This record gives sequence, structure tokens and C-alpha cells, in this order.
Amino acid sequence: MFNVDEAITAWRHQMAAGGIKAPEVLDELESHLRDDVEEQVWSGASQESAFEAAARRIGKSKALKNEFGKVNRHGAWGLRANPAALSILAAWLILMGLGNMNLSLLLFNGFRLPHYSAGQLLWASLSVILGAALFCRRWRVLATAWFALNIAAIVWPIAAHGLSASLYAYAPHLGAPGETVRYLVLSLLPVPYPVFYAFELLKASMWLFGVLLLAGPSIGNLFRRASA
Amino acid sequence: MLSKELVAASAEPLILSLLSGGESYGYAIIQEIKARSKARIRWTDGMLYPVLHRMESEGWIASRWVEAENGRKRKYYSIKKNGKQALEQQREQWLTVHSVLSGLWKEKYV
Repeated sequence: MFNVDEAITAWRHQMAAGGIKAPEVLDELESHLRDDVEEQVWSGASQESAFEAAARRIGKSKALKNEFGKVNRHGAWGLRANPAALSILAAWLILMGLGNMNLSLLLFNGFRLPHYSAGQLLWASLSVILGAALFCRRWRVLATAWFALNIAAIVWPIAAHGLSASLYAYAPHLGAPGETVRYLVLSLLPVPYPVFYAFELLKASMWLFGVLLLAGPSIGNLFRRASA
Repeated sequence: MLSKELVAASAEPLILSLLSGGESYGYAIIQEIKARSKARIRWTDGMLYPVLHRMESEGWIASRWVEAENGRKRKYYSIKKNGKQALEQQREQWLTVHSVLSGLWKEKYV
């Protein structure tokens, strides 16, 4: 005797094995399948033939997987990025932004170096705003550009002035700009210079992670189109 | 029956137009389009969902699960502000094509 529930369970397994693994997508397809079966049965078809026709109309898992794959690939700037990874990125951006928001130094420098303080405030504000904006799909392009800019801000001084000069720029006790909470804390501790560089490397990795996470699918798309 | 290409190209404006009249779910959308087109527009049922998901990721439509009285769950889609703007743009494009074709055919057949 045909059992529609058992048939649907088997159909779900078959779809999952074919690559449609997301439970929500399977639930939605199952809901469609049940609607179709119900209507056919109401019109006089047997449950078995109704199920077979409905499953056939939904299509094969491979074709569906390809179509769902296109949604992910063609979504603007990888909009389906993993939410957990996005949260880590956003937390990092906000932390970096707040770390730069060194109010006491801002007040001191506000008199001595107003343009520098304004720049620092703008930089910090942008970090916080874009960190929060990561959760807003439409602003992620800007956040990605921000990550790329941050990578450039780390790589450029090293490329242009060499390691020793860039170290000078990052060490506040040497009198160079770069007064932030993290550098103050680090400069008070008896840490060797490699620690500064390790921190810069961590920062650069995070920015790179951000670019790959947000723009990765779009970059992948460009390669796919170029090779097609 | 419409060609595969035309069916694919018209899917978004059809869905957006339909949803601008109120929220709906996949199976009902297919049935409605089938009825309105007198079965000349036929989508492969499963293929509607990737289109809906893409439109959702574009921010044009939103979805929510609704539980019916019999305990069955259905995912309802509704149009968002961005979707209305996208529909307006697409409407203009389709009307342009329609008006050019109408003009050309009028010259030819009248």
C-alpha cells in the first residue's frame, strides 16, 4: 500500500543526496509537493500517481542544485556569506573602530593636530558604521572597499618606506602619529617589535578575510565568466 | 507555449506583479500564472524557488513561514519597497518593447 509520507521522506533523502541539503529549501519544496499531491488527489488521481507527477514536476535534484548554486554565485557580492563569519568580521571592525577612538588623545591632539584628530575620528567612525553595516546587505560593497583600503594602509607604508620606517610610524613612543589605545598599551609593555608586526599581520589577515568573504563569490564569478 | 528564454526573462516581473497584489507562496504563484496565461506560461515547478530565493537575496521580496490550521507550513513571499522599484523599472522596459513591437506590427499589417 502506497504511503505518501514515506514516499516524501524517501524523496527528501534523494534530494539531499543529490545536493539539495538545506532543510529550509527541502521544507519549502516538500510543502509544494504536498500542495500538488493534494490538488491532484482532490481531482481524482490516486496518491501514488499524484506523488509521481508532483515529484517529476519539481524536477531533478541536480538541475535544482545548479539553479540554487547560481543564486549563491550571482548574488551581489556574496550576500549569502556565513552569518557567523560575518559577525566575527563585524565585531572586529567595531573593535578596531573603538580602539582608534582614543578620546583623551583626540582631545590633546585636537588642539595640536586638528587635521589629524579629525582624520582619526573619521577613520574610527567609518569602522564602527561599516562594522554595523555588514548586517545590512546593501552596504556590504562599501564594507568590502573599506577592508581593501585597510589592507592598502598596512601594505603601502611598508612597501614605500621599508620595515624600519613603517615601524617608526606605528610606535607612538617614538613620537610618530599613530596614537591609539592599542599602541599605547603595547608601548607601555616591554614587548619586542615583532609583536607589533604580528599584530599588523593579524589585522591584514582579518581585512583579507573580509574581502574574500564578501567579494569572494563575485571574484569567483569573474573568473568563471572569463573562462567560459 | 512561450519559449524557454521568454519564460525565464519574464519570471521576475510576473512574480513581482503578482506579489504586488498581496503575499503568496510558491505553489499558488505557479497556479496563478498558469491560470492567467491559460497554461501558455509553464514553469518547471522546482525552478521557481531558486528565482524566488535570488529575488529575496536582491532584497526585492521577503519571506515568512506561516502555519495553516491543518499544521502544514507554507513559505509566503511578499514584495518589498526595493521590489516595487525593480518592478517599476522592469515595467518600463517591457512597455518599451511592447510599444516598439506594436508600432512595427501596425505598420506591417495595417
